[in-house]
Amino acid sequence: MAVLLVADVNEGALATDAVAKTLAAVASLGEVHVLVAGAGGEAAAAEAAKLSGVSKVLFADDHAYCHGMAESIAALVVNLAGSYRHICGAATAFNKNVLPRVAALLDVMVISDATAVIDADTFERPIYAGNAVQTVKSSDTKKVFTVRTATFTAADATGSAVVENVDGPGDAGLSAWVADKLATSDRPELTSAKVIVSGGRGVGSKESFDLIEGLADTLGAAVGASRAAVDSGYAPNDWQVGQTGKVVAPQLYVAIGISGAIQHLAGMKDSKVIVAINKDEEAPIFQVADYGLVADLFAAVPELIAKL
Amino acid sequence: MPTIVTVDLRLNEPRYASLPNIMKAKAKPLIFKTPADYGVEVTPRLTVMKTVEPAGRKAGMKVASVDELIAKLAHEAGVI
Ligand SMILES: Cc1cc2nc3c(=O)[nH]c(=O)nc-3n(C[C@H](O)[C@H](O)[C@H](O)COP(=O)(O)OP(=O)(O)OC[C@H]3O[C@@H](n4cnc5c(N)ncnc54)[C@H](O)[C@@H]3O)c2cc1C
Repeated sequence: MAVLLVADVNEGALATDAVAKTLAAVASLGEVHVLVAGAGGEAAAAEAAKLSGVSKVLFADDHAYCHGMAESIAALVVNLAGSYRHICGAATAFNKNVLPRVAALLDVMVISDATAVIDADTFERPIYAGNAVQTVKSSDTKKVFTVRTATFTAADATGSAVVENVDGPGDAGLSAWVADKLATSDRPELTSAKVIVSGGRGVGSKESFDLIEGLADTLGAAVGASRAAVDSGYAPNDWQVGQTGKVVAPQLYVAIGISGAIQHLAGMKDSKVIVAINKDEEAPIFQVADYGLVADLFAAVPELIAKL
Repeated sequence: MPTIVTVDLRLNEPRYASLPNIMKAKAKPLIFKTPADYGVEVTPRLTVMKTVEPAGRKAGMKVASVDELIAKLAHEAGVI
Protein backbone atom coordinates (compact mmCIF):
# COMPACT_ATOMS: atom_id res chain seq x y z
CA MET A 1 0.00 0.00 0.00
CA ALA A 2 1.14 3.52 -0.73
CA VAL A 3 1.98 6.38 1.63
CA LEU A 4 -0.32 9.40 1.84
CA LEU A 5 1.63 12.59 2.48
CA VAL A 6 -0.52 15.53 3.55
CA ALA A 7 1.00 18.70 2.07
CA ASP A 8 1.00 22.04 3.84
CA VAL A 9 -0.73 24.54 1.64
CA ASN A 10 -1.04 28.15 2.70
CA GLU A 11 -3.04 30.60 0.59
CA GLY A 12 -2.62 28.32 -2.40
CA ALA A 13 1.15 28.07 -1.98
CA LEU A 14 2.83 24.72 -1.35
CA ALA A 15 5.29 24.53 1.56
CA THR A 16 7.66 22.94 -0.92
CA ASP A 17 10.66 22.58 1.38
CA ALA A 18 8.62 20.82 4.10
CA VAL A 19 7.01 18.46 1.59
CA ALA A 20 10.30 17.72 -0.19
CA LYS A 21 12.07 16.88 3.07
CA THR A 22 9.20 14.68 4.25
CA LEU A 23 9.44 12.84 0.93
CA ALA A 24 13.10 12.12 1.67
CA ALA A 25 12.16 10.79 5.11
CA VAL A 26 9.55 8.33 3.80
CA ALA A 27 11.36 7.28 0.62
CA SER A 28 11.94 3.73 1.93
CA LEU A 29 8.21 3.09 2.44
CA GLY A 30 7.40 2.88 -1.27
CA GLU A 31 5.01 4.76 -3.48
CA VAL A 32 3.98 8.21 -2.18
CA HIS A 33 0.79 10.10 -2.97
CA VAL A 34 0.70 13.76 -1.97
CA LEU A 35 -2.61 15.31 -0.94
CA VAL A 36 -3.03 18.98 -1.86
CA ALA A 37 -6.27 20.22 -0.34
CA GLY A 38 -8.03 23.50 -0.97
CA ALA A 39 -9.61 25.48 -3.77
CA GLY A 40 -7.05 27.51 -5.72
CA GLY A 41 -4.38 24.88 -5.12
CA GLU A 42 -3.76 24.03 -8.80
CA ALA A 43 -0.30 25.59 -8.80
CA ALA A 44 0.57 23.88 -5.51
CA ALA A 45 -0.57 20.52 -6.94
CA ALA A 46 1.53 21.09 -10.08
CA GLU A 47 4.55 21.97 -7.93
CA ALA A 48 4.09 18.86 -5.77
CA ALA A 49 3.89 16.73 -8.92
CA LYS A 50 7.41 17.84 -9.86
CA LEU A 51 9.02 16.56 -6.67
CA SER A 52 10.87 13.32 -7.21
CA GLY A 53 9.51 10.41 -5.24
CA VAL A 54 5.88 11.45 -5.76
CA SER A 55 3.90 8.97 -7.81
CA LYS A 56 0.58 10.78 -7.72
CA VAL A 57 -0.84 14.07 -6.47
CA LEU A 58 -4.38 14.07 -5.15
CA PHE A 59 -5.97 17.49 -5.51
CA ALA A 60 -9.13 18.25 -3.54
CA ASP A 61 -10.54 21.42 -5.07
CA ASP A 62 -12.91 22.69 -2.38
CA HIS A 63 -13.05 25.91 -0.35
CA ALA A 64 -13.73 23.87 2.79
CA TYR A 65 -10.05 22.81 2.81
CA CYS A 66 -8.55 26.28 2.55
CA HIS A 67 -7.02 28.10 5.55
CA GLY A 68 -5.82 24.83 7.10
CA MET A 69 -9.22 23.99 8.60
CA ALA A 70 -8.37 20.82 10.53
CA GLU A 71 -11.94 19.54 10.92
CA SER A 72 -12.70 19.43 7.20
CA ILE A 73 -9.21 18.40 6.05
CA ALA A 74 -9.08 15.56 8.60
CA ALA A 75 -12.45 14.28 7.35
CA LEU A 76 -11.06 14.32 3.80
CA VAL A 77 -7.93 12.40 4.86
CA VAL A 78 -10.00 9.83 6.76
CA ASN A 79 -12.14 9.41 3.64
CA LEU A 80 -9.01 8.58 1.64
CA ALA A 81 -7.36 6.53 4.40
CA GLY A 82 -8.69 3.14 3.23
CA SER A 83 -6.06 2.88 0.50
CA TYR A 84 -3.08 3.76 2.68
CA ARG A 85 -1.01 2.13 5.37
CA HIS A 86 0.97 5.25 6.21
CA ILE A 87 -0.42 8.76 6.54
CA CYS A 88 2.14 11.44 7.25
CA GLY A 89 3.20 15.04 6.91
CA ALA A 90 5.92 17.45 8.02
CA ALA A 91 5.68 18.37 11.72
CA THR A 92 4.46 21.90 10.97
CA ALA A 93 1.70 23.86 12.67
CA PHE A 94 -0.56 22.78 9.80
CA ASN A 95 -0.04 19.04 10.25
CA LYS A 96 0.13 19.22 14.03
CA ASN A 97 -3.41 20.51 13.71
CA VAL A 98 -4.66 18.02 11.14
CA LEU A 99 -2.89 14.69 11.74
CA PRO A 100 -3.69 14.11 15.44
CA ARG A 101 -7.33 14.56 14.50
CA VAL A 102 -6.92 12.03 11.70
CA ALA A 103 -5.29 9.59 14.13
CA ALA A 104 -8.08 10.02 16.66
CA LEU A 105 -10.77 9.47 14.02
CA LEU A 106 -8.97 6.32 12.84
CA ASP A 107 -8.38 5.25 16.47
CA VAL A 108 -4.62 4.85 16.06
CA MET A 109 -1.71 6.31 18.03
CA VAL A 110 -0.03 9.26 16.39
CA ILE A 111 3.75 9.16 16.19
CA SER A 112 4.99 12.71 16.35
CA ASP A 113 8.26 14.30 15.23
CA ALA A 114 9.73 11.17 13.67
CA THR A 115 13.42 11.73 12.89
CA ALA A 116 13.89 8.43 11.04
CA VAL A 117 11.73 5.78 9.43
CA ILE A 118 13.44 2.45 10.19
CA ASP A 119 10.89 0.18 8.52
CA ALA A 120 7.15 0.12 7.88
CA ASP A 121 6.36 -0.21 11.61
CA THR A 122 9.39 1.31 13.31
CA PHE A 123 10.27 4.94 13.83
CA GLU A 124 12.78 7.06 15.72
CA ARG A 125 11.70 10.14 17.58
CA PRO A 126 13.29 12.54 20.05
CA ILE A 127 12.05 12.58 23.64
CA TYR A 128 12.93 14.71 26.67
CA ALA A 129 13.45 17.76 24.48
CA GLY A 130 15.94 15.96 22.27
CA ASN A 131 18.05 14.60 25.12
CA ALA A 132 17.22 11.04 24.12
CA VAL A 133 16.21 9.28 20.94
CA GLN A 134 13.58 6.59 21.20
CA THR A 135 12.87 3.82 18.71
CA VAL A 136 9.20 2.83 18.73
CA LYS A 137 7.35 0.08 16.92
CA SER A 138 3.70 0.51 16.13
CA SER A 139 1.20 -2.35 16.00
CA ASP A 140 -1.57 -0.17 14.56
CA THR A 141 -2.71 -1.26 11.13
CA LYS A 142 -2.39 2.32 9.92
CA LYS A 143 0.46 4.56 10.97
CA VAL A 144 -0.19 8.25 11.32
CA PHE A 145 3.00 10.24 11.89
CA THR A 146 4.60 13.65 11.57
CA VAL A 147 8.18 14.09 10.42
CA ARG A 148 10.72 16.46 11.94
CA THR A 149 12.15 17.67 8.65
CA ALA A 150 15.17 19.69 9.83
CA THR A 151 17.83 17.07 9.16
CA PHE A 152 16.52 15.65 5.88
CA THR A 153 17.80 16.73 2.48
CA ALA A 154 14.91 17.87 0.31
CA ALA A 155 13.89 15.66 -2.62
CA ASP A 156 14.71 17.42 -5.89
CA ALA A 157 12.21 18.67 -8.44
CA THR A 158 12.91 16.32 -11.32
CA GLY A 159 9.72 14.26 -11.13
CA SER A 160 6.53 14.40 -13.17
CA ALA A 161 3.66 12.75 -11.33
CA VAL A 162 0.06 12.85 -12.44
CA VAL A 163 -2.44 15.12 -10.68
CA GLU A 164 -5.76 13.49 -9.95
CA ASN A 165 -8.83 15.29 -8.61
CA VAL A 166 -10.41 13.80 -5.53
CA ASP A 167 -13.72 14.55 -3.86
CA GLY A 168 -14.24 14.60 -0.15
CA PRO A 169 -16.96 15.17 2.37
CA GLY A 170 -16.49 18.95 2.08
CA ASP A 171 -17.25 21.28 4.96
CA ALA A 172 -17.39 19.33 8.22
CA GLY A 173 -19.54 22.13 9.62
CA LEU A 174 -17.61 22.18 12.91
CA SER A 175 -15.64 25.36 12.43
CA ALA A 176 -15.54 28.36 10.14
CA TRP A 177 -12.63 30.48 8.99
CA VAL A 178 -12.82 34.07 10.18
CA ALA A 179 -9.51 35.75 9.34
CA ASP A 180 -5.78 35.15 9.05
CA LYS A 181 -3.42 37.79 10.40
CA LEU A 182 -0.27 37.25 8.39
CA ALA A 183 3.13 38.53 9.30
CA THR A 184 4.79 39.17 5.96
CA SER A 185 8.52 39.24 5.60
CA ASP A 186 11.05 39.38 2.79
CA ARG A 187 13.41 37.23 4.80
CA PRO A 188 13.64 33.47 4.29
CA GLU A 189 11.33 31.29 6.32
CA LEU A 190 12.94 30.21 9.61
CA THR A 191 12.61 26.43 9.26
CA SER A 192 13.95 26.29 5.70
CA ALA A 193 16.57 29.06 5.87
CA LYS A 194 20.19 28.18 5.06
CA VAL A 195 21.48 30.79 7.49
CA ILE A 196 19.86 31.93 10.76
CA VAL A 197 20.95 34.78 13.01
CA SER A 198 19.40 34.57 16.48
CA GLY A 199 19.42 37.03 19.33
CA GLY A 200 18.90 36.42 23.02
CA ARG A 201 18.35 38.34 26.22
CA GLY A 202 21.84 39.79 25.87
CA VAL A 203 20.58 41.98 23.03
CA GLY A 204 18.82 43.98 25.71
CA SER A 205 15.92 45.70 23.94
CA LYS A 206 13.56 45.63 20.99
CA GLU A 207 15.49 48.56 19.48
CA SER A 208 18.85 46.79 19.67
CA PHE A 209 17.30 43.76 18.03
CA ASP A 210 17.69 45.83 14.83
CA LEU A 211 21.36 44.84 15.04
CA ILE A 212 20.44 41.15 14.82
CA GLU A 213 18.10 41.87 11.93
CA GLY A 214 20.80 43.95 10.24
CA LEU A 215 23.29 41.10 10.38
CA ALA A 216 20.60 38.68 9.17
CA ASP A 217 19.90 40.90 6.17
CA THR A 218 23.62 41.19 5.40
CA LEU A 219 23.82 37.39 5.31
CA GLY A 220 20.45 36.85 3.59
CA ALA A 221 19.42 35.00 6.74
CA ALA A 222 16.25 34.37 8.71
CA VAL A 223 16.01 35.84 12.20
CA GLY A 224 15.56 33.68 15.28
CA ALA A 225 15.35 34.40 19.00
CA SER A 226 15.66 32.72 22.36
CA ARG A 227 12.62 32.39 24.55
CA ALA A 228 13.99 35.02 26.91
CA ALA A 229 14.19 37.48 24.00
CA VAL A 230 10.61 36.69 22.98
CA ASP A 231 9.31 36.81 26.55
CA SER A 232 10.98 40.21 26.98
CA GLY A 233 9.21 41.49 23.86
CA TYR A 234 12.38 41.98 21.76
CA ALA A 235 11.15 39.61 19.06
CA PRO A 236 7.82 38.15 17.91
CA ASN A 237 6.62 34.70 19.07
CA ASP A 238 7.13 32.96 15.75
CA TRP A 239 10.88 33.68 15.82
CA GLN A 240 11.45 31.49 18.88
CA VAL A 241 13.89 28.64 18.38
CA GLY A 242 13.95 25.74 20.81
CA GLN A 243 11.97 23.14 22.64
CA THR A 244 8.81 25.24 22.64
CA GLY A 245 9.67 27.08 19.45
CA LYS A 246 10.91 26.00 16.06
CA VAL A 247 13.43 23.24 15.41
CA VAL A 248 15.97 24.30 12.81
CA ALA A 249 19.10 22.87 11.20
CA PRO A 250 20.56 25.49 8.86
CA GLN A 251 24.02 25.44 7.31
CA LEU A 252 24.99 28.29 9.62
CA TYR A 253 23.41 29.31 12.94
CA VAL A 254 24.72 32.44 14.63
CA ALA A 255 23.70 32.75 18.30
CA ILE A 256 24.21 36.23 19.69
CA GLY A 257 23.73 37.06 23.37
CA ILE A 258 22.25 33.61 23.95
CA SER A 259 23.54 31.58 26.90
CA GLY A 260 22.78 28.17 25.40
CA ALA A 261 20.16 26.72 27.74
CA ILE A 262 19.30 23.10 27.01
CA GLN A 263 15.82 24.14 25.83
CA HIS A 264 17.36 26.47 23.25
CA LEU A 265 19.89 23.86 22.12
CA ALA A 266 16.98 21.45 21.53
CA GLY A 267 15.98 23.65 18.63
CA MET A 268 19.31 24.26 16.91
CA LYS A 269 21.97 21.73 17.88
CA ASP A 270 21.68 19.89 14.55
CA SER A 271 22.80 22.98 12.64
CA LYS A 272 25.82 22.31 10.44
CA VAL A 273 27.96 25.16 11.71
CA ILE A 274 27.22 27.04 14.95
CA VAL A 275 28.75 30.41 15.76
CA ALA A 276 28.33 31.95 19.21
CA ILE A 277 29.00 35.54 20.18
CA ASN A 278 28.79 36.05 23.92
CA LYS A 279 30.67 38.20 26.40
CA ASP A 280 30.73 35.42 29.00
CA GLU A 281 33.42 32.90 28.08
CA GLU A 282 31.80 30.34 30.40
CA ALA A 283 28.44 30.48 28.57
CA PRO A 284 27.29 26.91 27.76
CA ILE A 285 26.62 27.89 24.14
CA PHE A 286 30.41 27.65 23.58
CA GLN A 287 30.23 23.91 24.32
CA VAL A 288 28.27 23.34 21.12
CA ALA A 289 29.66 26.16 18.98
CA ASP A 290 32.12 25.42 16.17
CA TYR A 291 33.37 29.01 16.38
CA GLY A 292 33.04 31.04 19.52
CA LEU A 293 33.80 34.72 19.84
CA VAL A 294 34.01 36.10 23.36
CA ALA A 295 33.03 39.70 22.80
CA ASP A 296 30.49 42.40 23.52
CA LEU A 297 27.85 41.97 20.86
CA PHE A 298 27.37 45.74 20.57
CA ALA A 299 30.92 46.00 19.25
CA ALA A 300 31.21 42.67 17.42
CA VAL A 301 27.94 42.71 15.45
CA PRO A 302 28.40 46.16 13.86
CA GLU A 303 31.98 45.20 13.00
CA LEU A 304 30.75 41.97 11.38
CA ILE A 305 28.12 43.85 9.36
CA ALA A 306 30.73 46.35 8.20
CA LYS A 307 33.25 43.68 7.16
CA LEU A 308 30.95 41.15 5.47
CA MET B 1 -20.03 21.07 21.82
CA PRO B 2 -16.83 20.31 23.76
CA THR B 3 -13.81 22.08 22.28
CA ILE B 4 -10.08 21.70 22.77
CA VAL B 5 -8.06 24.87 22.34
CA THR B 6 -4.26 25.02 22.42
CA VAL B 7 -2.72 28.40 23.18
CA ASP B 8 0.60 30.17 22.89
CA LEU B 9 2.51 29.94 26.16
CA ARG B 10 2.52 33.72 26.55
CA LEU B 11 -1.25 34.08 26.17
CA ASN B 12 -1.85 35.17 29.76
CA GLU B 13 -0.85 34.83 33.41
CA PRO B 14 -2.14 31.60 34.89
CA ARG B 15 -4.75 32.00 37.61
CA TYR B 16 -3.14 30.52 40.70
CA ALA B 17 -5.39 28.92 43.31
CA SER B 18 -5.85 31.03 46.44
CA LEU B 19 -5.22 29.52 49.85
CA PRO B 20 -8.93 29.51 50.86
CA ASN B 21 -9.77 27.70 47.63
CA ILE B 22 -7.01 25.15 48.20
CA MET B 23 -8.50 24.50 51.65
CA LYS B 24 -12.00 24.19 50.17
CA ALA B 25 -10.76 21.81 47.50
CA LYS B 26 -9.60 19.40 50.18
CA ALA B 27 -13.20 18.90 51.27
CA LYS B 28 -14.50 18.07 47.78
CA PRO B 29 -15.39 14.46 46.98
CA LEU B 30 -12.95 12.57 44.73
CA ILE B 31 -14.55 10.09 42.37
CA PHE B 32 -12.27 7.47 40.82
CA LYS B 33 -13.08 6.12 37.37
CA THR B 34 -11.21 3.82 35.01
CA PRO B 35 -10.98 4.30 31.24
CA ALA B 36 -13.15 1.17 30.91
CA ASP B 37 -16.00 2.99 32.69
CA TYR B 38 -16.11 5.24 29.62
CA GLY B 39 -15.64 2.41 27.16
CA VAL B 40 -12.13 3.58 26.26
CA GLU B 41 -9.42 1.05 25.36
CA VAL B 42 -5.99 2.30 26.43
CA THR B 43 -3.69 -0.61 25.65
CA PRO B 44 -0.64 1.03 24.06
CA ARG B 45 -0.04 0.20 20.44
CA LEU B 46 3.47 1.55 20.50
CA THR B 47 6.31 -0.54 21.90
CA VAL B 48 9.51 1.18 22.93
CA MET B 49 12.34 -0.79 21.35
CA LYS B 50 15.20 1.27 22.72
CA THR B 51 16.15 4.66 24.05
CA VAL B 52 19.60 6.05 23.36
CA GLU B 53 21.50 9.24 23.92
CA PRO B 54 21.91 11.21 20.71
CA ALA B 55 25.39 11.76 19.34
CA GLY B 56 26.78 14.74 21.21
CA ARG B 57 28.26 17.80 19.60
CA LYS B 58 31.85 18.67 20.32
CA ALA B 59 32.90 22.15 21.20
CA GLY B 60 34.87 23.79 18.44
CA MET B 61 37.33 26.61 18.84
CA LYS B 62 37.39 30.15 20.11
CA VAL B 63 38.31 32.84 17.63
CA ALA B 64 40.12 35.96 18.79
CA SER B 65 38.51 38.55 16.56
CA VAL B 66 35.75 39.33 14.08
CA ASP B 67 38.34 39.12 11.28
CA GLU B 68 39.34 35.61 12.30
CA LEU B 69 35.66 34.61 12.54
CA ILE B 70 34.96 35.83 9.01
CA ALA B 71 38.09 34.08 7.70
CA LYS B 72 37.09 30.78 9.33
CA LEU B 73 33.52 30.96 8.06
CA ALA B 74 34.62 31.78 4.54
CA HIS B 75 37.62 29.47 4.14
CA GLU B 76 37.35 26.64 6.70
CA ALA B 77 33.59 26.11 7.04
CA GLY B 78 32.70 27.52 3.62
CA VAL B 79 29.32 28.78 4.79
CA ILE B 80 29.54 32.45 3.80
C1 LIG C 1 9.68 24.15 29.52
C2 LIG C 1 10.65 25.14 28.99
C3 LIG C 1 10.71 25.37 27.62
C4 LIG C 1 11.60 26.31 27.11
N1 LIG C 1 11.67 26.46 25.74
C5 LIG C 1 12.59 27.30 25.24
C6 LIG C 1 12.72 27.47 23.81
O1 LIG C 1 11.97 26.91 23.02
N2 LIG C 1 13.69 28.30 23.36
C7 LIG C 1 14.54 28.99 24.20
O2 LIG C 1 15.40 29.72 23.71
N3 LIG C 1 14.41 28.86 25.53
C8 LIG C 1 13.46 28.04 26.06
N4 LIG C 1 13.34 27.96 27.42
C9 LIG C 1 14.08 28.93 28.27
C10 LIG C 1 15.53 28.57 28.55
O3 LIG C 1 15.57 27.75 29.70
C11 LIG C 1 16.34 29.84 28.83
O4 LIG C 1 15.76 30.56 29.88
C12 LIG C 1 16.45 30.78 27.63
O5 LIG C 1 16.81 30.06 26.46
C13 LIG C 1 17.49 31.84 27.92
O6 LIG C 1 17.54 32.76 26.84
P1 LIG C 1 18.86 33.61 26.59
O7 LIG C 1 19.98 32.70 26.33
O8 LIG C 1 18.51 34.61 25.56
O9 LIG C 1 19.01 34.40 27.95
P2 LIG C 1 20.10 34.28 29.10
O10 LIG C 1 20.22 32.91 29.59
O11 LIG C 1 19.79 35.36 30.05
O12 LIG C 1 21.47 34.59 28.34
C14 LIG C 1 21.82 35.85 27.86
C15 LIG C 1 23.26 35.74 27.39
O13 LIG C 1 23.64 36.95 26.77
C16 LIG C 1 24.97 37.23 27.12
N5 LIG C 1 25.16 38.67 26.99
C17 LIG C 1 24.60 39.65 27.73
N6 LIG C 1 25.00 40.86 27.29
C18 LIG C 1 25.84 40.64 26.25
C19 LIG C 1 26.58 41.50 25.38
N7 LIG C 1 26.53 42.83 25.49
N8 LIG C 1 27.36 40.92 24.43
C20 LIG C 1 27.42 39.57 24.31
N9 LIG C 1 26.74 38.71 25.10
C21 LIG C 1 25.95 39.25 26.05
C22 LIG C 1 25.13 36.72 28.54
O14 LIG C 1 26.48 36.43 28.81
C23 LIG C 1 24.26 35.47 28.52
O15 LIG C 1 25.01 34.32 28.21
C24 LIG C 1 12.45 27.04 27.96
C25 LIG C 1 12.37 26.81 29.33
C26 LIG C 1 11.50 25.90 29.86
C27 LIG C 1 11.45 25.67 31.34
